[in-house]
Amino acid sequence: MSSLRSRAAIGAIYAASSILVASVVYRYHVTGGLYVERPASVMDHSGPDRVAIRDALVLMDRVAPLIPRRATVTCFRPKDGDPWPDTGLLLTAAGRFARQSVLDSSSARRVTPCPEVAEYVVAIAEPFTNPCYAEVARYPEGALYRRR
Amino acid sequence: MSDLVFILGLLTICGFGLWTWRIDSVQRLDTPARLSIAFSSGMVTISAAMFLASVVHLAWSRSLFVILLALATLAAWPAISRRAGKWRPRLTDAGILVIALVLAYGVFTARLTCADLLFFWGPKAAHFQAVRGIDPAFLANPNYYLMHPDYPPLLPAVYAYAATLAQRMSWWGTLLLTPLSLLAGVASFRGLAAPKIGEAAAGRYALALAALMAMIAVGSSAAGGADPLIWLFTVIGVSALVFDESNGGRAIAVIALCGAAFTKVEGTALAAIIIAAYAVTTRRPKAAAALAIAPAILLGSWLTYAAHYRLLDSYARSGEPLHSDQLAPVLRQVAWSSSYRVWWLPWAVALLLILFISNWRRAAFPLAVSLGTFAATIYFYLHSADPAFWIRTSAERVLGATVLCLFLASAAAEELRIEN
Repeated sequence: MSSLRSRAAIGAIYAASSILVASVVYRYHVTGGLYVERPASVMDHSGPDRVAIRDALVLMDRVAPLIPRRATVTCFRPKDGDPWPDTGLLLTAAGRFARQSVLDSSSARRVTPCPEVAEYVVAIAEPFTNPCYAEVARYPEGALYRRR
Repeated sequence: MSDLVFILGLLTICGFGLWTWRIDSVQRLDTPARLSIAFSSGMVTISAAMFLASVVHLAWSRSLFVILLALATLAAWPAISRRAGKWRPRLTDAGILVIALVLAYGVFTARLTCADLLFFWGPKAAHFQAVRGIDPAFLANPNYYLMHPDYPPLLPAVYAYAATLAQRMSWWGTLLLTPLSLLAGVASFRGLAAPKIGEAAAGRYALALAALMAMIAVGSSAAGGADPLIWLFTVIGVSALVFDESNGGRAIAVIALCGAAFTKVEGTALAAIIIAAYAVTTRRPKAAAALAIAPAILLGSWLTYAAHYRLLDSYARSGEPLHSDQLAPVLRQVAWSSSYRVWWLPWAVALLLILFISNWRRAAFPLAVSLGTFAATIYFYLHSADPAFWIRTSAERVLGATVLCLFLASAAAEELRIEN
């Protein structure tokens, strides 16, 4: 390989490295602030649904210490006061409530007899109105309910 | 505090891979490369040990892990005490460190977290840590079907190991594995390449590799998921086979192939492609077949376990129809969805450096792996009747290995430039 071509290859490697690093910084700029503050959740800047996911993660972390080990718990964003299925939230809850037993949202339906519903409900953002439950704690991101 | 213990726990994984320092080819490497190989091998070793413990119903615990770590260190002791290859820090090393820090900044400001961390890698790890072992009943729960019940346990086991030491899952700690994978991949590459292409050239390519891996991770939002590990095993496996033609080089590659195959289904395809490409481009089918033995045993034991508990899913889809009529739209969607949100820059960089290849024989193996991984990705997508969402959410991550092998082809050709 000629010396000129060799030098061009070396220049291309350094130029490519610089452009790639600049692109990384550009992507950080596009995803926006916070730049120095610690984010509230690991998903704060990721994906188009980041606000919804962020609220769910923050709420789950807040209520997890309030739920006893091995208790049954379900997590959803209520619609018109009722449970609403959300696979993403169910899978996320399985990780956040690893010491409890996570059930799907149908375990808190109004038609289910009260003794058979999940012991705890983590309701994201919207109020949950099933009379089998009483509110235990409320946060800006939602609330925790316990079976009466 | 538990976040810190979790992170320290991740770092202690190096100890489980110190046995690799007994391999001559690892012994000759510089210290950063040796540590990187130890870290990568350690993930394979500890996940295999944790799987074995679950098979024999031995509960995971801090004391078990401390005993295993002590045994692993003792077994490697004669090799640890020997001196590593010479390493003189260069300016490119400072650049690599800066890139790793820039990536770490993005990771810890939650700019590139992979949704799969929340949906299945993390939940599996947290649950396994809570019940102190792999739990087939959890994996078989139909509510958790989307967690891929038959995916091998390497990544959840690595997280569960650190979580067991910390007594708590650290979601922030899991993200650190991405910059660690970048550093380990780049240091391994540089250490393996330096004896062949020279310190200066190896340093330059390592710098570019670091920038490329960082951009791919950021562009595909991969932090916390399995893909950074697949990229790490790709870089180590391909570099070892390209730059070290001894038995030791092949031994390093075998460990990387075990890691890929024990991580997820795409890693299994990657391992098979690397072995096939090696057989074809070197015309050494026996040596290639020898590469397959350990990964086949490791993956085979997991699949036997998964079949026993009726968990098989992704690994039992060979009978599904291939929608070959969808080839054109799938190619179009893949092309459109693999821009890394920076105008296809990682592709452009890898292709640009290929223009400088003067001898294609040496570059043939990584190029074949690159083509093979691209073809395998398309093949996977063609098994879905409507893969648009799947492509949109995964193409950039799974094609990371394709881009990296394109890049490694130009570094591989550098060797002949020096030799000539």
